[in-house]
Amino acid sequence: MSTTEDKTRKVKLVTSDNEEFEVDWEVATRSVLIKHMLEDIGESEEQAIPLPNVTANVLKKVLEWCEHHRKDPEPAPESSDDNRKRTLEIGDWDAKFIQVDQEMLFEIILAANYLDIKALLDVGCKTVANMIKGKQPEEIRKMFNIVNDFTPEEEAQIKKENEWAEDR
Amino acid sequence: MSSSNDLRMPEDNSKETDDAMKIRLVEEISSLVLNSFEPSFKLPQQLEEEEQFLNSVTYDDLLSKGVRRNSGRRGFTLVSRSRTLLQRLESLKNILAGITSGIDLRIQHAEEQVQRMGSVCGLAALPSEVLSNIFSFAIHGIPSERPLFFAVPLISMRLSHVCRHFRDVVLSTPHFWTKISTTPRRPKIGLIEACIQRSKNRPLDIYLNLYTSEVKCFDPVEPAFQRFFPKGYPTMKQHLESDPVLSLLLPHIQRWRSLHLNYMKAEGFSGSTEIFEAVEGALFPMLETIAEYHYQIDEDGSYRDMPYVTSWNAPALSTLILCDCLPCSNLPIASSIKTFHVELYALSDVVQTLDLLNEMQCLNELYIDVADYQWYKATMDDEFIERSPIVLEDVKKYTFCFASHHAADEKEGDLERLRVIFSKVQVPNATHVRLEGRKTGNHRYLSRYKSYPLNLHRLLSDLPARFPNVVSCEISISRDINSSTHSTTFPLQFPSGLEEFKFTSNTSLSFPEAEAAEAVRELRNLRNLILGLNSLHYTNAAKDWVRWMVDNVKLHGGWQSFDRLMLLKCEEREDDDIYEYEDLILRDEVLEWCDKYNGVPKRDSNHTYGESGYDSDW
Repeated sequence: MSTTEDKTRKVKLVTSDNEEFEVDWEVATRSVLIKHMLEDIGESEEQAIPLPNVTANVLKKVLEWCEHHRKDPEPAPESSDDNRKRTLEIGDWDAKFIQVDQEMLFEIILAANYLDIKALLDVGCKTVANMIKGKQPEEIRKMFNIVNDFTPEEEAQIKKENEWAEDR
Repeated sequence: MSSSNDLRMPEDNSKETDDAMKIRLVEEISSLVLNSFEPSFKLPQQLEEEEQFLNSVTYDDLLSKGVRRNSGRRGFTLVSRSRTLLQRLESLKNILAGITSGIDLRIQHAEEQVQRMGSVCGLAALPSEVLSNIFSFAIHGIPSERPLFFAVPLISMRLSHVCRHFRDVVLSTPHFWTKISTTPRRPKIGLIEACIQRSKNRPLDIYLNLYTSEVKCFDPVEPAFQRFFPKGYPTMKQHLESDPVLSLLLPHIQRWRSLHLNYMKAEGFSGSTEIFEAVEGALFPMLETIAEYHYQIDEDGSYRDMPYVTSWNAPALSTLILCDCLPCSNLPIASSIKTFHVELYALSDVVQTLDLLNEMQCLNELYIDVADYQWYKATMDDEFIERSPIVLEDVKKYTFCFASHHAADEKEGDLERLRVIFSKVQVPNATHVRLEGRKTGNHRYLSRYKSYPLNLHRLLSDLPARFPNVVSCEISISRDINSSTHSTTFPLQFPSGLEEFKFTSNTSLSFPEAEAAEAVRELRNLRNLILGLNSLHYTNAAKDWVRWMVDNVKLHGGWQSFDRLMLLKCEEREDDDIYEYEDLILRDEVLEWCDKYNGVPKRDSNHTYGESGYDSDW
């Protein structure tokens, strides 16, 4: 539970390339990792939070998302086994935000995973899922430059599995 | 007049060998590169001196000192020297241009490599749990609310065929194989068997096709007529046939988590009519959802009454999704249903649905869709009109879908009929409400629907009384594509606790000012306003409506907690319109946006608009 003091508090974040960002507590604590680190440090400390796995250009983008979603309610915990209600829809603002090149897309996903920002991680994952959906294996390989590294035995099994998909 | 720096001509092979020329060019380019670090551009020293010498030549000097000729008198020496300088500069330029062009190609390739490496490294760097999350969205993520009967297991299979890493992740995750669906008439038995095996003991979500077909039968005939009908009276009866995969799934009923039955017409009857007889009275310990989809309103109604449900022992059942079908009689499990989704096509079904809802007093989520309701099928009698509404105290999330053209028809009674149906269900404690006016195909042949405006402010005039506890409300209006004569009025009545309001419309818009003056609402809690506009139609009234909303929020002291206005851009489609994010207007800039907004469509048209935004031909 955040207090009024928390909401006015500033938090310093230091990236792997030594750039310092000063952001509102409410924005920084969209990240569960940062929130826990701040709880560990205690309220009186003015210590900067090191983020060794995030570069400045990626953190800038992540903070842009956190700023926009600063007042969103905290996401409800999701059962790992029940994925039936998952939707591929991405919010209007998020859809525009995530229109980046593939490198930045994966950087954002990795940063969201590291910083534990589930809603942002889902936006990134849905974006990649939308790119994958409806594509044949060869198209997916081409899109992400993936090498077909199956052994001849595995290729034989795959060929057999492909017969399942053929119309009878 | 002379200079010791006499340039040799490149074509003069007798004076300069190829090797010597290459060495000279390398030196000159090297010199150019070195000179490029200087503040001003300089040629290699020899060329620079030659240029200076030629610059210094004047007409007076030539007159006084005489003009020299080349040896053999093959032209003037000075002209030859200046031409040589030009050739030397041109050859340097050509070499540098070749280098630049080569570098450009490599730059382009390097840019592609950055992209390639970015994607290769990015994908390879993703931890397995993130990759698994992506696959989960790809496999289980649905683009719309209605489940699709496409072969979902194929997505899992295709992902497992990309590379070894993907295959490891997909095969080691049982819940990627729990959704079982088949293509109509062409079930992929091998794939279904693999799903059953690879999903281990996880709950299964089953999408099953059932086929109806008409078969000629003979009814018994009285003895007096037997000579005319020796086989009996010929009649056509509907038969229901199961998909062959059902026999693979029946041994696993203890794992069934959801069952979605899609009834479809088949060309000919060929299989078994036995559907669920083998599991009558059986226990389905995990079954949470039953869904049935019928699209046969013109048929005789066979199989629409879900006879199997009454005998099933399904203690976990909490979700019922019905499209054009309803259980035949009292449903024992109705009292445990928490989510009910129903699409209705006929008045008799509305009456039956109200009876059913009366038994669903634990309901949390209710979705009613009457968009494809066909009024000509029934007349609404007084008994129905006077019937008391069903009050569902526990419903928190409520969606009501209707046909926009019904809501717009104030003259022929469609609006009134819609109002009656809308009023029969009361959800006083709903916190999330969505009201959706859809375009549907079945009215397009009726010209009377074509030009009516949709007076939303009148349709929703009792919104605060109907939904007093709503915090999030979404109203979406969609009317026929390319129909510029349609218009919609902005809603004016809102529950006082409203925090987020989203309004999207693909039509032109108008703001009923006179009614607005009488409709001051306490919007003290409003934080987010989302507005989806269609730039192809007249939406200038949006600025008046937003300004009116702001005034109301300010009047009741809510302005400091108001956050933003989000604008969405409408792209009209044949079926569903698409709304994309366009702009975000923060609180302090909202009034400025109102001043600047221009909602006059940018198109060539003979249409004219009245003051209020209505088309003038109304």
